[in-house]
Amino acid sequence: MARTKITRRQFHNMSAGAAALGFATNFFIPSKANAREAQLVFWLQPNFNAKADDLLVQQTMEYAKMQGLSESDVRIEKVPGGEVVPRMAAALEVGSPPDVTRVNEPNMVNWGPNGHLVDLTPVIEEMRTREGGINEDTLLMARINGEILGVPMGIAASAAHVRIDKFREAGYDKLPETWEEFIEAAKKINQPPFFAFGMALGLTPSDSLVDILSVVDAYGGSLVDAQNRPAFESDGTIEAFRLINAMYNEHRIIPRGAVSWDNASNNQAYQSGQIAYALNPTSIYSSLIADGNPLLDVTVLDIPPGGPAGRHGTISTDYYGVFKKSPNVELAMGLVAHFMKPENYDAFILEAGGRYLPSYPAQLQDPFWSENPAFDGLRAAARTGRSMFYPGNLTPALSEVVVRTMVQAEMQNVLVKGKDPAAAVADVQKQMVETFQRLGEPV
Amino acid sequence: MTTDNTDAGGVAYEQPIPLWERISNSRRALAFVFLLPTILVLSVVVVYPFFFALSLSFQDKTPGVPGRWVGFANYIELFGNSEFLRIVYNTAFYTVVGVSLKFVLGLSAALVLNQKRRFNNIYRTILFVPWAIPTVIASLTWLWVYNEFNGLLNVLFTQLGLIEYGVAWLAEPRLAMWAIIAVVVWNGTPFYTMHFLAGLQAIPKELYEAAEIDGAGTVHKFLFITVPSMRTVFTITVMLSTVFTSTSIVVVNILTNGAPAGLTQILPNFSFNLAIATGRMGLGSAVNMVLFPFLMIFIILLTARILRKGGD
Amino acid sequence: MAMARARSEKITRAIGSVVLVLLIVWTLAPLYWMVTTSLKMPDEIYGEDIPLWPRNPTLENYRILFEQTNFLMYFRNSLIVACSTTVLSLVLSSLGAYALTRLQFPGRRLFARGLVYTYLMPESLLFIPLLIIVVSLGLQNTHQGLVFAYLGFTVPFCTWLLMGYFMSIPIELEESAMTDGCSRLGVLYHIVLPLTVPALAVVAFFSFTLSWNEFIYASVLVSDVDVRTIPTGIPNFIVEDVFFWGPMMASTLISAIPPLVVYFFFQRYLITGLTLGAVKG
Repeated sequence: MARTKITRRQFHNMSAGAAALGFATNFFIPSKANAREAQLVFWLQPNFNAKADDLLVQQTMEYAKMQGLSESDVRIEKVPGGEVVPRMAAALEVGSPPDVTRVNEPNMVNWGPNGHLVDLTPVIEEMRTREGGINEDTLLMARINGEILGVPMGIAASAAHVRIDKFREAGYDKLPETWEEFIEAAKKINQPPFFAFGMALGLTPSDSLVDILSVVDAYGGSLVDAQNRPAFESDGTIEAFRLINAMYNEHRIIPRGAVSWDNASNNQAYQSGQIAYALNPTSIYSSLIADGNPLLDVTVLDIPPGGPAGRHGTISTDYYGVFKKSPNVELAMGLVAHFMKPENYDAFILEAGGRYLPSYPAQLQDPFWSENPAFDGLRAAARTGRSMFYPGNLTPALSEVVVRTMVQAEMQNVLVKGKDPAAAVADVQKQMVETFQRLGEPV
Repeated sequence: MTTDNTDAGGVAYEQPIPLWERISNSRRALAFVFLLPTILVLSVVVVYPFFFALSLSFQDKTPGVPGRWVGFANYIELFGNSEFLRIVYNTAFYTVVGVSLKFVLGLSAALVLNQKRRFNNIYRTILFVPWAIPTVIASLTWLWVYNEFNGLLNVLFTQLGLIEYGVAWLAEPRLAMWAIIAVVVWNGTPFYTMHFLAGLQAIPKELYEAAEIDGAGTVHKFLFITVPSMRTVFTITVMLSTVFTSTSIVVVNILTNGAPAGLTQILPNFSFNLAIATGRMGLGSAVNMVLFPFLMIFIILLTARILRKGGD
Repeated sequence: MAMARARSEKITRAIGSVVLVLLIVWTLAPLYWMVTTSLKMPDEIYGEDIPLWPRNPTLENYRILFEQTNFLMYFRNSLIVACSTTVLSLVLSSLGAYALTRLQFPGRRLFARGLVYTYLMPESLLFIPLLIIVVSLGLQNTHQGLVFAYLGFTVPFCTWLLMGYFMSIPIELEESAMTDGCSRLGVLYHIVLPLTVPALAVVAFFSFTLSWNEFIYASVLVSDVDVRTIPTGIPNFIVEDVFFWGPMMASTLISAIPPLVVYFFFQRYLITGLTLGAVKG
């Protein structure tokens, strides 16, 4: 093919054209001015259910109209979970965070003590007036320095998603109650590429910590003690680490890839029918329904297996928070109150389809919860549920431990590098102590 | 051009020279004018943030809260961290191997695309495609390709009977880093291909013709004409790619986030996790600064020759 | 001897063809996965039995993309930002490269190296101070703000690229033009640039692709849906721990089209040649 030669004329024409294009695009298209024109800014973090999200949008616009705001006064931004942390960091630095957004427990610990959030006690008081009141345990994490910095928008329970058909084939009519029995059952079920236990073990905070702690908890271990001091190093924890190591390396009932799983991987593994057990919030279950996945018929929800120290599910609370930098705090608080009005809130919880358990115990009477047998398991998991940080509380130091995946990192040293479980647990304790000391928290 | 430069009394005087001509005649002034827009853009968009990040590394700071000066405490904490050195090693390995592979593949592709073929324009477009895909998406796609259960690789290999059941490409200690590098190479090779192809064009055909008359073979032509002529292009491409590769967080973030056991953790990810996820902006910034001296020396060495040659 | 040369040429071509095939397969494999996934219904993406080829191909994912998301708006915005960035990169880097290669001035070498130093700080760290600046300039949520930020990324590299290319142009061409009364700017525009068209093509490709695919700055500097670009639409397909692979792959494929169109139509400029004939003649 002959090489093309560009003549001078062609070149001039091209550059003139390019310049024209460049200027045209800039001048003909109007651009928006500074962000903070809107009176009310709500960062909507999508729940994995579009209908629930739409409902929140609707409720927001309803409230805006009630307050006499026009549509352009309200800005609802859909901010996916992964984007929240960097964008919020940037927004806080610039001094223009949103007015209202969802605040999960780690967020609460980051934004609360630093004085970014508004005291929402008046809204809580109003919520308490509903018959049956509110689930007071949910306020635990939000009480900071005597103020209540978040309104509980729902309780997220992690439930064991179980392939009951596989367990029945192995001779068990329900999920075994202890880890030791579970391992016995798992050995029968396991048949690579089908694995019994979809345990998340990756370095992404969330799923993997919940999975590891559910074993640790069964043997009496915990991250902190009741005085919020690092207490990871204990016989129970070491035993749990040994057990997990055995499950991964000896019995091989966990997929090898679990050490590089992110939060979505156990979802995908379960939905592809590759694992018989996954501990996860109900997003897996909702996806099965939404995709019309045949595995739905053979899936039950249950409490994860337990051990000598008991059998507990894991729960956490999500909140609505209002930022102090909001130009109109009253307006923002009103939006939260509006969301939490019983009729609005009940509608949202039902649309969310099990993603959240209601903050108002009264709501649990709704037939929605008793109609679906799967939710029995979910409610049992929630009833026995404890925070990951039991018997203590999430604090800034503990939050750093969580976000930096210190527990998972040492677990991986055991699984992949053959480190001694006792040494690994000791190292977690050491790092925790260092962090707590650095942040001035008691050890 | 005739201008009468004498006044009524016959005394010569200077015609005032128009500003533009004055500037055009002074190399310095002209250089300044030519570089002005660049200077403006860069000082606002890069230089200020740069120094912001540098000063961050000497502070203890969380987002939204004013920072507190701590001197070298962050750096001291880093060097006391046992993981840190291993992360530095990982980063070096990842960069060197990644850049080398991209170089080899990019050069091969450019040489091949330079040969006369019928549908070259289609081949070229195809080979540019990985670059048209945002790295985020490329990583997510490869995540799926590597999937232990139904990823492309495992489905293919099991159907071909090479393995019994899926391999966890991203979790096996000896495979994980190579899996990551493969994605980086896939996504970044077109960058090299494009430059090398452009660079090959600057080599005058006459040089090859003269060599052929002297009886030079293909390999000889390549080694003694192509390579020396491309030296500047090679240098610039490798230098820029090294910097880009060693500072990108996306691939590791999406594929493994450092797993298994920190074997795939590299400096920019470590920095991002500390600064943004954990909210320790000072420490995260310090991690980043550690790379600087090495990269700066690297850049100075590589550009020494070029900058000496450049200009008149 | 001519025979030997012809044979060695044939061998080179044959090797070249093999290499080409391998490269194409390697390049297309993940794309194959993307294309087939975008055409599959959820049960074929997530189910137990994943086919290599969609058994019931569907355009549903594309429909969702166009009807349920703001994709077309993002597309328009990406186009605006990418075109502006490309044109401005070309202008700024040509001027800069010319100054750095043809004009001697103090600090030339420092400035040239400084351009590369600007890349040492990753965008994953710079985005916060950048937001501060953009907001204080009143450019938050504007196309101009994004273009401005992207120029900070494209200009240093493009300048270096053109520098490398300019240096290979013999100085005699310009000198003879200047003795004929041509100004520096004129020399740049009429003589140097036309001879460096391949490098300009690379500059254009690079700037366009970068602005088209850039994610971090786009998500932080612009939150208004009317101004957002395509890459920021992608995370909408990842909700907490659920990935919506079908629409995500569909969106990727569609958004890969403009860069590919740019490459396809302009890649012939990439292979324009430089002949010494211009000098000797």
